[in-house]
Amino acid sequence: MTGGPAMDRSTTAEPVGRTERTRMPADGAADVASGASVELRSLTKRYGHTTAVADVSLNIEPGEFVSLLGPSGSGKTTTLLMVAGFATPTEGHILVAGTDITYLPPHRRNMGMVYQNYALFPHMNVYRNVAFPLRMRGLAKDEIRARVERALAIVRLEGMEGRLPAELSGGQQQRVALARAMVFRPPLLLMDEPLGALDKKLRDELQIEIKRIQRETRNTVIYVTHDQDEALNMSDRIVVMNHGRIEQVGTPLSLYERPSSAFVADFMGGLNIHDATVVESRGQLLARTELGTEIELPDASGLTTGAKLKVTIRPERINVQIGSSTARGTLAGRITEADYFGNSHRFQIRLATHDVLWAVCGSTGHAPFPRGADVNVSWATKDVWIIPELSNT
Amino acid sequence: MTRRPDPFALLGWCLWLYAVLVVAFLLLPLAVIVPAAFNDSSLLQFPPQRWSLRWFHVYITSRDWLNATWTSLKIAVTVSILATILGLLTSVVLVRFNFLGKRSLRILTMGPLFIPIIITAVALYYFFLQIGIKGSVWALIIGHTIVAFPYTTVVITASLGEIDKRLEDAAVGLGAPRPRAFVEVTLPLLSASLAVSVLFGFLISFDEVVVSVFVSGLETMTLPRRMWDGIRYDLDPTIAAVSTFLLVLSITVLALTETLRRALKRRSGQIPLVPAANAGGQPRRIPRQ
Repeated sequence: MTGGPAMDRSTTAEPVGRTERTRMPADGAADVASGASVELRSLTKRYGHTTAVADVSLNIEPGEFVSLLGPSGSGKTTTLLMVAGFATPTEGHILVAGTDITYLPPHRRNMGMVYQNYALFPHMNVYRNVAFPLRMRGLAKDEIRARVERALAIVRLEGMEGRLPAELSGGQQQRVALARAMVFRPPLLLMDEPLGALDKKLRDELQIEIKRIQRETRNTVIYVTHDQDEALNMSDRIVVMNHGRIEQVGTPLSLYERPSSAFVADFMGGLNIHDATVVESRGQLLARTELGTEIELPDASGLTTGAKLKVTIRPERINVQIGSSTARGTLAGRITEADYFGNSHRFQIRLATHDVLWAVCGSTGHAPFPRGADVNVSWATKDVWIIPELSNT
Repeated sequence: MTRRPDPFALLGWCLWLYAVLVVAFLLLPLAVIVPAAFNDSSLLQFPPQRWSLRWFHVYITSRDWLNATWTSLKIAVTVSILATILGLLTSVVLVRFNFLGKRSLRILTMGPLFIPIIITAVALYYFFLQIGIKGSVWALIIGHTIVAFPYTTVVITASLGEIDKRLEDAAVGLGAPRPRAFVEVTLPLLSASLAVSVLFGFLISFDEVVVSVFVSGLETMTLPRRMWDGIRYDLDPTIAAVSTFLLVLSITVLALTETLRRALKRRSGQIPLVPAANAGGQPRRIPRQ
C-alpha cells in the first residue's frame, strides 16, 4: 500500500461520507445522521465492598470526542461498560439524546463499540463481520451490500471482503472492527483502548484515521485510554479518572496547562511537581520548596504565608543556558542526566539547593549539553502553575 | 569429527522404546481377536489354521446379529444427540453463569464417571422395572445417555471456556439479542467440539455392555449385549468377526473426529495459519522471518 490508496483518501472517502447522509433517509434509529448527547448522572458501580466507579457525572455534547483517561483500575472501562449496557450501575442514570437508557438491554442501545482485542467474529469473513449489525436490524440484502461496501471504503479495506480475521494484520483487524461499529450509523461510538494492541507507528496512523472518520460521520465518541498522548491528540475534552472518580474534566490544553491536582499534573506528563510553602520575602509572596528553592508566583491572590501548595513548571518552558552566572531570575545548576529523543533533549538538572528540575528542549541539530555541565536555568513567572494542597491529597 | 553420545538423546530413545512396548501391550488383544475372525475353524482358535471370511458371512446373514446391530445403531444415534444437547446446556450453565454451588454442580456432572458403572446399572434396573420400561429402547437410551453425559459435558465445557465471551458481548452490542448472539457467534465456534461430542456419545453408547446387560430385553438386544450372550452360550468365531467390525467402526469414528476437529478449527481461525504476533502490519498468512 503506497501512493494509490493514500490519494484515494481525499477523493473517495469524503464524498462517501456525504452521500451516505443525503442518500439515506431516516429508516429507523439505525440511521441517525450525527451524534447524540450523553449525560451521566451520579453514576456509581460497586462490586461487593469495592467501588469501581464513584459518583461520575458528565455531559457530552452531540458530536463531541471525549476521552476517559486514567491508569488501570481508575474506573474508565467500567464507566464505558455501563454506557454500553454490559454493567448495570449501582446508582445513577445514563441518558442518551435525553432518553434514560440506564436499564435498556445492550442490544437495543444502538451504540457502536470497538474493543482492544477487536472482537471480530473469527468464523465470519470481513464482509459478514461488517454486515452483522445490519443483518440484526433486518435490512434488505442490497442495502446491506451497499452499506458494507461504503463502510469498508471509509476504513480503506476495499477488496478484503473475503478474508477471515485471522488472515489480517492487527491494524487491518481494527479497521474492520471500526467499520463494523460504524456501519449501522450509531449516534454514539464507544472505544475501549482500541489501539492498545498495536505498535506505535500503526497507532499514530489509526489515531489520524479515527479522527478523520469521526469528523466525517459527526459521531459522538467516548474513548477509553491510559495513554495521555493519545487522549491529548484525539479529544475535544478529556476526563481524567482516578480511583473511580473524576479528577478533572477539560480540553486537552486546559488539562495540560492547568491541572487541578498533582495526580492530573503527573498523569499528563508533568515532571516538575514540587511541594512548597508560601513565604514572604521583601514584601512579595514566594513559594519555597522543602529544600529551599524560592519560586516567584504568577498570582499570589488568595494565598497567605504558610499555605501549603504544589508548584509545577512544564519542562519545555524551562530555559537552559550554559554558564554559571548569578543574574537575578536565574538559578544555577548542574546537568545530572541528558537524554536524546531525536526531536528533543531532556535534561535532569540539580539546582544549588539540591532540588531536581527536568527541562525539555527542542532539537537544534547541535550536540546537547553534556552531563556534568554547569548551567543556568530560568523560566517566565507566568509559566508557573500552582496547585493548592487539599486536605486529602 | 567425533561426537560423544548425547545423554538426552539416549534417554529419548529409551522413552520411545518404552512407549512402543506399552502401546504394543495394549494392542495385544487385537492381535489375537482380528486373526481369529478370519479363521475357518468352528472354534475360536489362535493362531488360525486356515483362513476364510466364513464368520463374517455368518454375521451379515444372521437375523439375530443384524437386529442387534440395528438396535445398537438406533440407540447410539439417539444417545449421541441427546447427550450432546444435555452437555451443551450444562456447559452453558457451568461456564457462563455464576451461582452458589457452581463448583459442586461441576463435580456432580462428573458423577457417573466416579460411580462404579455396575451400581448405576443395578439402580437403573430397579428403577426401570418399577416404572415398567425395563427392556424398552427408552431404558437403553436413558441408561447410555447417563454414561455418555460426563464425557460430552467435559468436551463442550472445555471448548466453551476457551471462547472469549466478549465475542458474544460484541454481537449483543451490535444489536443481537443474547440468544441470537449465542446462535450466531458462540455456536459456530463450538461446532467442532459439538461434532466431537456427538461422535464420542455414539461410540460410548455403541459399545456399552454393563448397563445394556441389566436393562435390555429380548426385543432390545444391543450388539455388545448379543456378544456377551454369545460368549456365554454359544462360543463361536462370529464374535471375533463382530469384534473386528466394531474395531473398524471405532477407528473410523475416531479418525473422523480428529479430521473434523482440525478442519473446523482451521475454518474458524482458531489455529493461526502462521503462528505470529499480530501487532505488526504484516498479514498473518505471509510468514516473515
